[in-house]
Amino acid sequence: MSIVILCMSLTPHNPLHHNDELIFHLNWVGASHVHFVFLRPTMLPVIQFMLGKGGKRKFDEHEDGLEGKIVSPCDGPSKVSYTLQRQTIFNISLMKLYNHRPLTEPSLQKTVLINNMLRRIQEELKQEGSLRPMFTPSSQPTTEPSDSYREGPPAFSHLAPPSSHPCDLGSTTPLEACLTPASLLEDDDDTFCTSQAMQPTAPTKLSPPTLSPEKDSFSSALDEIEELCPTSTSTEAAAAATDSVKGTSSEAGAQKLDGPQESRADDSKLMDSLPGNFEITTSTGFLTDLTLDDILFADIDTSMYDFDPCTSSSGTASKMAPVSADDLLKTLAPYSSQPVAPSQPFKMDLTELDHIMEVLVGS
Amino acid sequence: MVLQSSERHYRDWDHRRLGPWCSPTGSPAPLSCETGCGEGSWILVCRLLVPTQVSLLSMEEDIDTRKINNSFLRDHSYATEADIISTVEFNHTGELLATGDKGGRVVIFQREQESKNQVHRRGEYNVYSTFQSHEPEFDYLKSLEIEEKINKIRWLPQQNAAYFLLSTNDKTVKLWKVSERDKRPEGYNLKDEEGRLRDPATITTLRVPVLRPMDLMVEATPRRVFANAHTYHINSISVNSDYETYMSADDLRINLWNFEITNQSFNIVDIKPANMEELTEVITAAEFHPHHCNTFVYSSSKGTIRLCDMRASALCDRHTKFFEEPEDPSNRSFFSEIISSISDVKFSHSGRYIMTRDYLTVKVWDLNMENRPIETYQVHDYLRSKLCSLYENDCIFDKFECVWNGSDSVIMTGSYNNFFRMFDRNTKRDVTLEASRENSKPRAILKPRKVCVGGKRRKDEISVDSLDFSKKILHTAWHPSENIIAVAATNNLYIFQDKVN
Repeated sequence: MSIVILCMSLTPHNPLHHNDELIFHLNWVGASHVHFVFLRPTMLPVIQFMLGKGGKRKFDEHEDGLEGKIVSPCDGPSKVSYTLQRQTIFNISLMKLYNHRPLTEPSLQKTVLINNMLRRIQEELKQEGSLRPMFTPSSQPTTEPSDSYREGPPAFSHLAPPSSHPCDLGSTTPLEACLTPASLLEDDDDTFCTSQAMQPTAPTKLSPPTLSPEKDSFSSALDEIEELCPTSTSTEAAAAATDSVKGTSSEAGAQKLDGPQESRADDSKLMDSLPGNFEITTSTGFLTDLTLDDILFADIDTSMYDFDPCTSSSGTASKMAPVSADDLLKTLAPYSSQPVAPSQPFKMDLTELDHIMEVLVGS
Repeated sequence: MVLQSSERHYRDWDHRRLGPWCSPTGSPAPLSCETGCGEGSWILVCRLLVPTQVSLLSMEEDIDTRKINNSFLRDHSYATEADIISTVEFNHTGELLATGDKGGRVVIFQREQESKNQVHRRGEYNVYSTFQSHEPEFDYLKSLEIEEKINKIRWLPQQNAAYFLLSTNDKTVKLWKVSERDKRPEGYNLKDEEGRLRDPATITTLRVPVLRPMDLMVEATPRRVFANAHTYHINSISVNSDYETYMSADDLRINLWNFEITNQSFNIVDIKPANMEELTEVITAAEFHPHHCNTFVYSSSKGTIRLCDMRASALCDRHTKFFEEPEDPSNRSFFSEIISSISDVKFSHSGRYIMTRDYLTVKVWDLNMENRPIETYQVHDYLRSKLCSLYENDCIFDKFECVWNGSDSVIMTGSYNNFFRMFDRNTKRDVTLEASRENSKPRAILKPRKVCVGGKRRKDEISVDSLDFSKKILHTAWHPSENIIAVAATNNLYIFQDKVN
């Protein structure tokens, strides 16, 4: 049994502009005994960036959206846009690290600079997190699930007119959090597609903590799979990673992170997610690990799979989760995305997920 | 090609070697024009392409350089990626100009000699020699390719009739000898004219082979291969002023080599941390002092320069001087560190100053003052507001080089849209020029360009948003004693000269 991760692909010759409707095609891999896990296409904005690469396009084609919206911090902008920019840069950095599949060794200087950038952003987040020790997740069941979906894709404001969007919260949880059970996507395909148009109007703030419950169920799903099929290294890694995710996210108190949170400054958004997911994702040492040691020492040390959430709280590089996270990331078509998870539809999907798992287990 | 005797080479070299081009303030005798870049105007001498066909030409054939140049100047629209020039370097007299490209080839151009009937052709460079320096390799341990792209070429000073240069890719440095052969032995006893062995039974008389003149042939042979000393990618090589040693620098280590010994090198700098996860800084460039064979500098990705003295200890991890400019708090952004990463460091010819290039500026440092540079020149400050996009499309990691002119009065560096900039240190004037095919008429005077940063765009100005970021000038070179510059734009090599009178 194997888990195949599908990722979106956009037609390269149809570059996106921020006013266009988002059109995407899913590549289906058809095979028997292959089970699909859909990658949440929340990185559409960033994928547009990727399409813009190649150097032949004129600069203004892909800069008009983002640059115009981003105010340099030294101008004394609103905190929101600073956070948004920080988020954008964080995601771009992650994408750079993981999306690069060169035939030759990647440049060490570039890798180190990107890592430093990520470290710095995470340090900032850590500091901001420590400044706000308490947060009250007021449950505000704003709207139906589609609202939550609206949040996701236009994580980068360039897709929409400049409004204070919640920056993406789960930035600190790069890829694990973006996994959604297939059922969710099935249900909300339409809302997802059309949500872009509605997006600018209502910046409903998402709750990052909702990632935790989502992860929980998914990680439990993966766990089940892993139990049944312990041979595949990717599932092993996934399980190990989700183990860690589960461990820490449960600490975060999944219960309280129910509905979408009240609209607040984005910092608090980030802070909400931090306690839960910090240990897993923030040690950028893991990024360094991945990029440097992963290249230099291609073997994966399986002894590192027992992850202890307590030990990595220092934020320093812990080799444990990182390596397994890397596997997970690798198998997950490396788009670092805004993890967007609806909370309410999620609950009802738990049962659906169970159903799916049964199917998986059955075959 | 004109038949040149090696003796004449030697004489010419002697004459030029004595030129006082080391003096920082005096004007060297051979310098053709002492006006700074502001007053002078630059004309295009020639534009050279390096199409793939050149490598197919055998060295043995009679190479008509004029024919090759004409074919170069045709518009080759099918230039392959292997033709992208990756390094440009004049030799110590300026007579030869070497270029390396992504395909591992080295092409050496030679300056056209003065002739009475074609005075205007002086200053043109024609192909002198072409050879394949490095081949692509495969690292089986890491399952990664090792690019054959030539990262740097450095000439050795000429000590006999042959020319020597070092060329390096990511992993291996090679010493090449480029020599001319204009005589051929004829009259062998055991071989006939085609080289076939003769049957000894048919030989009835013996004769002494004589050397007869032949058409000039330039051959390049690899004399040394310095391999397997670098785990990381070599970014710089620098020949020491003792002409016996040189150093090669990769991201984390610098090794000192003796030209004669290829299986050993001394490690003189090692910044690899015990735990690679703690790595936050890499070496980006390194160079020996032009006169003091014990001194060298290396720059880092954090915008610092360290000067080291090899007499202090065998391993120069502890610097003698540390150059760093404190960060300007008003300019702080997410990208402060990345744009402070130094992409090139060059000693002045005098040895008193170093010049560093980071993403947006060129800085001149006095070796005696470590806390800040003495001069800072903005290369393309209008990009400061675009850093996020430049980060996204990786342009922020471009490594621009910078060069001094022969008298250390003007510095030059490249930018985007095929622009390159010159700064006159004395008059504080600067000029932006473009190396483009549209202005490619020979002897055409280059028009200064201007980038408008916003508001009304005047005629002939180009707005920041219409800059082409795929056309970047990373590699330039300045003749050691004259105002002749070589500018590499993708697969084109432009040679400009200061217009005299």
